[in-house]
Amino acid sequence: MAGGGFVVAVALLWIKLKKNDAYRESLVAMVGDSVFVEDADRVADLGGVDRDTAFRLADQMRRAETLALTNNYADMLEVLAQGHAGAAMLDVYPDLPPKLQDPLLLRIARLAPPGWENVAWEAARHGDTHLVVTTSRLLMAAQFPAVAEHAAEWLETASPRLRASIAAGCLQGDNPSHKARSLKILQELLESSRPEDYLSALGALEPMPHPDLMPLVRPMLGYENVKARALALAIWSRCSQTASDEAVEIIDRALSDPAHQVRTAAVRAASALPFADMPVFDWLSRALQDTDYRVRATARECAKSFMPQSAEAWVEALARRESDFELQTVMISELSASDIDNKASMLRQVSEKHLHHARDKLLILQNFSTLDSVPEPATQLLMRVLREEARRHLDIVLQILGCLDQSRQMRYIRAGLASQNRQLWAQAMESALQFRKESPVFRELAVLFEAEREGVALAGEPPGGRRVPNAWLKWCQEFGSEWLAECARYCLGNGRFAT
Amino acid sequence: MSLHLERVLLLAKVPLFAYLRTDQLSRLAPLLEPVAWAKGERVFDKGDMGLELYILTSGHIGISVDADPTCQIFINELWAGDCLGEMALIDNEPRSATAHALEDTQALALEKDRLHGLLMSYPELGIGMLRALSQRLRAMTPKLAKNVK
Repeated sequence: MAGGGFVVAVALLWIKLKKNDAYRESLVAMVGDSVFVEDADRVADLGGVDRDTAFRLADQMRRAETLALTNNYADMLEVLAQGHAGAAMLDVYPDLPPKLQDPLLLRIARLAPPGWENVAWEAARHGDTHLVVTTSRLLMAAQFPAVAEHAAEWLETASPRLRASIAAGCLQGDNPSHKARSLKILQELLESSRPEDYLSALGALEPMPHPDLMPLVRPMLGYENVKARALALAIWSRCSQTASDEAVEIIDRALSDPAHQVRTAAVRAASALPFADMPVFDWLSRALQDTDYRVRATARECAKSFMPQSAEAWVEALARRESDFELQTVMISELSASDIDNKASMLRQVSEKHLHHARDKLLILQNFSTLDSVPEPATQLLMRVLREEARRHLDIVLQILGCLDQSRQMRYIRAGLASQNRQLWAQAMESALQFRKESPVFRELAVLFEAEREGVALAGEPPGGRRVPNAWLKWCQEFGSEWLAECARYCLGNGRFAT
Repeated sequence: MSLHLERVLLLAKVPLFAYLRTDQLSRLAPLLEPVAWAKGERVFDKGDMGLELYILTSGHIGISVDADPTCQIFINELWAGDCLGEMALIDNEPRSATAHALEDTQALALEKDRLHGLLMSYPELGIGMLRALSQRLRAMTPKLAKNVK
């Protein structure tokens, strides 16, 4: 039996190699196309490639003229050729212009293919200041001997960027005289009034903070220069000697900063802070609702570090923020990707609660419409908010269904149900109702979608009973989002529904 | 009604913002600056560089395309809820018309840089902007046709 298994394994390997050979040309062409359309899913579906194909793909980077294109090729190499990506990138590295070499070197250093230090060192000798700065920093971290030999000379160079970068690297090394000189150089640069000096020092310290320099970095959290504020925040969070209550104050202030760069740095800083018992969900929620897309994207990117660690903490966090839609959406994705044991049943419970809230909000909306008078502008706004929130609850239920069943069929159904096209929606719902496992959820979804889209009357009473708008408004204050609560508070304070 | 809710309700009726949810409008509303002109003043002149768009909250504006900015022959008139000045913010060309305050007028101003940032943050605004420009073009078509005849 064992012998037969071995033969089958060899045969499969042979077939795989032959298949790789046969499809190499079309594979390279397809990846070439995909780089332009940034179709990561399509490329990921291809599976792994061998060393020769990885080098052929890397070869296409020689023809890439923009940073975005080079990055796309590098991304794909890392996905498709994990074992050979570094070597393949290193092969083309010397032939690229310095502006493309600089960002690629960060990847190469991370992947560390054999001999990368020599290739990088040689390229830096012909590169611009930016490339020399990046190369020297990475080679110092890798303890490449040639860089250490040049350190004393570079510490006295005219370029503040290079001086700062070498100094920050020397502070991490063992040479006592280099360390003392480096500390002095960085102090001088941080104390300088010239932005090119202090920004160079901050930029160099960001990846390699040093506690002795924190007294000079800390006041820069309040600098007028936006870049200085953002960099100081990043350094502070990685080298924090602050008490947790002061940390809360610093992050709170930074999240209200007028510059999106500082708010973005605040999210990253908050995700790096080591303290427990901080209002991390408040911060994440604020960042997810920021008016700048870059802050929102960073919040989604860093969300994992804000998430609870135990099942109990997950249940509590999800229940406490049921109407914080942005946060719920992110938390559901993170819970789904986590390795919490009973996540499927937790997601089903969350889904039930959202269906329940959607129904309550739609019932209140429909009952407001049955009141005798023509609604005032504030009531009209409240009704619109109720409808929007009901829809958002339904969208979250669709998201959860997608987390529970990641099949392509479910993906199509969810897309159809989220569509504004009535016919597409009906077809998707018809398919959805065939799903035996989730059919109760889909049946309830069908009723609620009809009520939300077409105004079809729902059976049942709104919270508090019929014709008691004050009770509905109080419910909105208690169970609605902050925005719905604000609208309800205004309507209640207005005394419009006092009788 | 509270000023904030009033602003949200106003923005909800402006075609530019029609595709945003009210909670998004609630976050955008504080980014708009209140401005005002007395009757007889000009909001901007034809040929000025455009730095802001305006959403009228009250009053009445007349739009003239005459080269003389004092000319009061209007091709269009705008009221509360209408939007003006967005074209120059998109194509970076000078103002194509002069805007006259025909009554005491109040508006909310949105700066060019802020609008561009918001367009990146809320892509629905782009669709709203196309809708607003399309509506304006549609409204102008019969007038153009009349002139051709």
